[in-house]
Formats: sequence, C-alpha cells, structure tokens
Amino acid sequence: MNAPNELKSHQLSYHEIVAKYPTVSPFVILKTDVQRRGVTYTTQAIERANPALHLLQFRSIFHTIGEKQTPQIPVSLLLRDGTSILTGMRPDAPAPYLVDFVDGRLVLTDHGQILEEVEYWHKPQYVDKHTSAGTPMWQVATPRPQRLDINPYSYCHFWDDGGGCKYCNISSHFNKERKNNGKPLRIAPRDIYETVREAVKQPGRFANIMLTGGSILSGSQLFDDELQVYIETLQAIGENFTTRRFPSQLIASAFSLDQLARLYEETGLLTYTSDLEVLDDALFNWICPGKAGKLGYQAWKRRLIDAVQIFGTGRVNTGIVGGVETATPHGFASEDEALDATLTEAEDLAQHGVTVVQCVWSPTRGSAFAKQHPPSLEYYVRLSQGLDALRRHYNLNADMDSYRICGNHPDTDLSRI
Amino acid sequence: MAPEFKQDFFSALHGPDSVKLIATTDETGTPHLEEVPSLTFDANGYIVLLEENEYSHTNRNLVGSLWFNRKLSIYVRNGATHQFQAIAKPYKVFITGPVFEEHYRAIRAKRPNAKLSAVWLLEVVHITDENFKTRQAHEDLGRLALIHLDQIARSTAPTPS
Ligand code: SF4
Repeated sequence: MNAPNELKSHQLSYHEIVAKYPTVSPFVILKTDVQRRGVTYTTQAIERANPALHLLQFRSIFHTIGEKQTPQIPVSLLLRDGTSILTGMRPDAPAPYLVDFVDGRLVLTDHGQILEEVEYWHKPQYVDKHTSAGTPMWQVATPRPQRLDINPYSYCHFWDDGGGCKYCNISSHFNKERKNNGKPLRIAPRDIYETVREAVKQPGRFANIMLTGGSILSGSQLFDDELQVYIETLQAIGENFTTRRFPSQLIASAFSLDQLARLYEETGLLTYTSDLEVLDDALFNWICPGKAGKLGYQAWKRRLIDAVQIFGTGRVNTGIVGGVETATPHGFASEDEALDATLTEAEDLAQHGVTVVQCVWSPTRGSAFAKQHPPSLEYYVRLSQGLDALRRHYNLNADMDSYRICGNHPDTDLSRI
Repeated sequence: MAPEFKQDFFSALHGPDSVKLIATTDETGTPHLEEVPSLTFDANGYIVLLEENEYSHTNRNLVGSLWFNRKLSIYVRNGATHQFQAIAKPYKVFITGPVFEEHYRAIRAKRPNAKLSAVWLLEVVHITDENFKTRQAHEDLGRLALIHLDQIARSTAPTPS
C-alpha cells in the first residue's frame, strides 16, 4: 500500500511550497492543499455555524451534507481573497487541516498553527422554500458562493456494465442516497424552473447556473437521451430570463456536432464543458473505461474541438481530475513525466481553442480509487501554473470557470491577475 | 494605535466633492492610478472600495496586493487645503455574502444599471498630510535647503557703501 503522501518525508510542506513558488498566490496554494488533504472542524468552529445564515445542508451528485446519516456541517469555506475551498468533511482523510475558532476568528490551522482566516459559505434565501410540487428547493439546486448548481440526472450509465470512471463515486453515491434519503433519479424541469425563479430574486447572489449529471448513453445516437434531458432543463431555466442567452455552463458528455448544434440553438446555454478527465489516451482507457469503450479518447477530444465552432473560443473547456494520472499501478511513476504529458496535451487543446481546468483529485469513498493517494502539493502547484501559462500564451481566458463562477479550479484562481 | 491624521483623512474621504485616487501596482511594479469617487470607510476603520468591473486594472492589482503583500496608495483632496495620502494594504474582499449584497443593493438603488464585482476592505498603514505647505515643511525639516542661486541673486548691483 502507498504511504499517504503528506507522510512521505520528501514532500514539501505548505510553507516550503509558498517559499519555493513566490509568484504563486499563497491563498491558492493553501486552497489546493486543503482540497488535497481535506478538512475537519473543532467543536468551537462548528458552534460558529449558524443555520440561519450558513449553508449546512447540501445535495450534490458526489456528496451530501446535512441529510440523514450525514451531520449538518459547513458546506465549504471562503478565504479572505474570495477564493472558495470546496471540501466536505472527509472522515477518512489521513492528515486533514483543522478549522478552529480562535480569538474571535474562524481560522484554518495545521498542527496548531494558524494559517488563514476563513468564512463559511452563506445560505441563499431560496433554500428554505418549496416548489409548487412540494419539493424542498435545496434539493433541486445547490448553491455555491455565486453559482447555482443543478443536477437534473444523478446516475451515470457508464456504471451499468462496470465502466464508471475509477475516481468517481456518482452511482454508488446515488444508490446510497436513494435508499437513505429518497433521492430522485431525475429532477422535474418545473421544479427547476421554480427554484431558479426564486433563487434569482436575491440581488447579487448568483452570477451563473451550472448543469451537470451522469452520462445517459441511450437514444438513437449515443447520448441523445442525455441531450434531451439538458434541453428540457435549460429551456425551463431560460423561461426565467429576459435575454436569449443567460450566464450558464453545461458539463456533459461529449456530444456530436449535430447534438451540439441542437443544444446551442434550442437553449440559452452560454458555455459548454465535457471532461476528458485525464490527458493521456492509454490512461483514459484504464481510468475511464466506459468513456473509452463507447467513444474513445480521440473522438472525445475531437468533439470538444468541434464544440468551439458552435459555442466560440473561450466558451468551451474540459476538466481533468488533476493528479489521477499518477494513480497506481498504471499511472505515471514520476510526477515530472505526468506533468509533462498533461501539459503537452493541454497545449494541443489550447491550440484548438479548448482550455483545460483541473480539479484536485481527492480519493473518494465509493470510487474504485478510494484507497489511493493524490500526488504532492508541489505537483498541483506546477500543474496550475502550467495550465494558467498556457491560457495566457494562447490568449484564452478562464472566465467561464473562474474563481467566482466556479471556485473549484486552482489554475483558474491564478488567472485572476 | 490609529494612524495619525486618521480622522482628518476620513473626514476628507467623506467630503461630497472630494477627489479620491487610488494607486496600485502590478507584479512588475508598474503603477496604475484611478479615480474612485465611491471610496468610503466602514465602522471598523477600513477603507471601502466598491469595484464595479471584475476585470479592471485596479481589481487585478488589488488581488495581487493581497496575495503578495504589496501596498497601495490612496490620495484624497477635499477643498484647497485638505489633502491626504494613505498607504494601505488590502485586508479582505467580499465577492459574495451579506456585506457584498448590502452594497450591491445600495449601488443599484442609486444607479439601476450599476454592476458590482467586489467590495474591498483596505487597511490603513499610515497617513500623511499632503497639504503643500505642511508637506514641504515636513520634508524639508533638518535638510539643507535647495535654493538655486538665481533665486537669491540681487537684480541690481549693490550700491557701494
Ligand atoms: S462519466 Fe465518469 S466522471 Fe462522469 S459521472 Fe460518469 S463515471 Fe463519473
């Protein structure tokens, strides 16, 4: 078994990385490490969470907070510079950061040392309301600091024949939540319409709507039924706005050119993402066997590039699970090699107008890689720097997945300046 | 201890016709100057800057200042004699939450088309009185005066005694 990375003696600590990379934001380095190592809370810190003000209940496709069998805890954190840290409580994390309440301030600490002030995410007003069908609105849309997330379909059919991506827990999570909390497979477009209508009444609260869910393979063409779910949902959302297009992002399967044209023409969607997950053909085959089997790495990539024709430059990107390329036993053995391969492929995508954004891989319960360990903090810093540098070099930007619109990509945090 | 002139500086900031400028720098040290009429202060003594443009030069420089501990300068002139400069550093930015929303509602109540990207809190490090005479007296204190000789040259030859 691998030793947890933070216990490996050769790895540099947060402070050492900050000193070694003086041109990289220490806030972003901290966020990265907190996402990588996880976070937990002292009793005093939990007591500062006010259910009337803070978000303590959250339902997403990958995790749940504040439902049956999951305690109400702060959903996530904000740093002083507006950087979001998306991290749920990970009881099995080997060396988590600790949020504490010290001298009247909520602070992130590590081994007793105070590193930064933090704030809990605030609760928007809509979450305590119900739709006309009686559905609690917090179960329809989950808020981030400036974004409304909607998961119209919570199961991924790549799992049907064991083809789910190895770092992903979507379908095991869905099965558990269906049993524990009656989570529905699909959310009705009418409930979504009403929830969005309520949410956008709060001035200044939301700047974007993001849709994502599991892949649906059925239909006359691969992903046709998934496309239909999103078209119906986006049309329902669009009824709320005075403009044809509204600030929005869809993270979905790699649609064909015809499907993309329908998506663009029949809805008010502004930006499109389809995740390649790992930028290496052979590792894609191993880590994302469903995607590889149904479409393949090169076709997935081709479709992303095609999407730029439909949505325009700067409005198409792809997400990767940063660090999963080092998973054992088939991943890159050296971090240098992994970084080189990833950035070379990211450059090819950038040359075609597709930007790459990374999420920090946090091995999750319910995924095949649950017992693996992410690479070093230094790896993530270099990866973020590399992706940010590519965007600057190719005159692309990170606006569609920025620190504000999304908040889950350390590389796009760096693009703020 | 509160910086000297803090009350005078805040009064000047409060003046309805005050001129308010902020100078920030980028990572190369290149300065950027901008007039910010909305600069004000809050109950905790922070200068409050409402940034309306997400991608503005000032906003990016303020992010850089917070990340890399770069200071900035704020100049306020209220009338002919009240001129102050504050050296400050960003303490925090609100891009969401109750403080942000309060300012968002207020700015849009005043100007319905206004946008708001961020509410910056800037911590004053020190303040100098920039009134010309006060500043000159302070700057010249203990120094050998620079006087070009033409300024003290007689315009006419002295009358022989
Ligand atoms: S495609 Fe892969 S990452 Fe996406 S939901 Fe399905 S299994 Fe998870």
